Amino acid sequence: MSRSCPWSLALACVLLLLALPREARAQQYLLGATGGVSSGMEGGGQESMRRTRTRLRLGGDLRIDESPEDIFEFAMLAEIEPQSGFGGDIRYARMVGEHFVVDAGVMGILVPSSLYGVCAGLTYRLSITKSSQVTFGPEADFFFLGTDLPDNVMLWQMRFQAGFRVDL
Amino acid sequence: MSTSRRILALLVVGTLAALAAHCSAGGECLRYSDCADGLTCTDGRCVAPAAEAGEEAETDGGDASSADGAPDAGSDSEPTADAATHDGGASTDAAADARDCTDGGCPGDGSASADARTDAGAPADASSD
Repeated sequence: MSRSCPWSLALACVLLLLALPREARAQQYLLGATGGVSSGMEGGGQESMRRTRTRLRLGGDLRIDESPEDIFEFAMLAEIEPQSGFGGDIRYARMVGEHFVVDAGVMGILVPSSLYGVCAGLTYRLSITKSSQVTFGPEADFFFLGTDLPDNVMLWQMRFQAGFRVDL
Repeated sequence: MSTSRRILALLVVGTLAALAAHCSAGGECLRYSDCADGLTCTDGRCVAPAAEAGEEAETDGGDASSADGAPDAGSDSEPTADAATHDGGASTDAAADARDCTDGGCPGDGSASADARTDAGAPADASSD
């Protein structure tokens, strides 16, 4: 009886290993596409507040069906007025309830000069159809690195963004 | 939407517009790219890049002119023959001009206005902090 115990244990391990990949295969990646525009106020250094640049954000989000509340977001940023610039961001977002999403991440403007910082936002998703939503909500950005930033200045921006999201 | 809600919405939009207009003062910068070509952001203002060097040269130039024994470095009659003093004055003139520039740029495109101001004393007054 004691000799058969290691064999049965090994058999159990093999069965467990065989079972694991089946669970992994069951995972599905869920993709979404987003687009939006934002503007607001900005300040930093010795300056008072002023209107910040209007920014377009085009990107996507990635989830796993097993934990759809955890979302990985990525986007391309384009500042369009009064001056232009291009960059991107990467965020971790989490669904809070059925309609709200909170997110935090890092972002950077790369062209014409670099500007790096962190961002956090809250988004409300208003369903239009089963697979599309209108999104809007506040966002806060803080930039503290980059060649576009004068010495001893931390640039902050408070934005309101509105956009559109589609489940792919 | 009721009339009272429309009025409230108009008030909110008007307040936001007024706030945005009030806060977006021209000529200020938070980033180097806020400034027009040829200008740089210093202390929240778009100035000519030579402004800082000009202010340093102003101090140095003033010392140099006195050290050179120039009799009337600050007079309007005849500038000294010291070229360094000329350069410092011209740069400071450019800085004073550039401080008036806004985001839209200067009438002279922010370049050091080559007007024939060679008074070494006036720029020193204009740029002294």
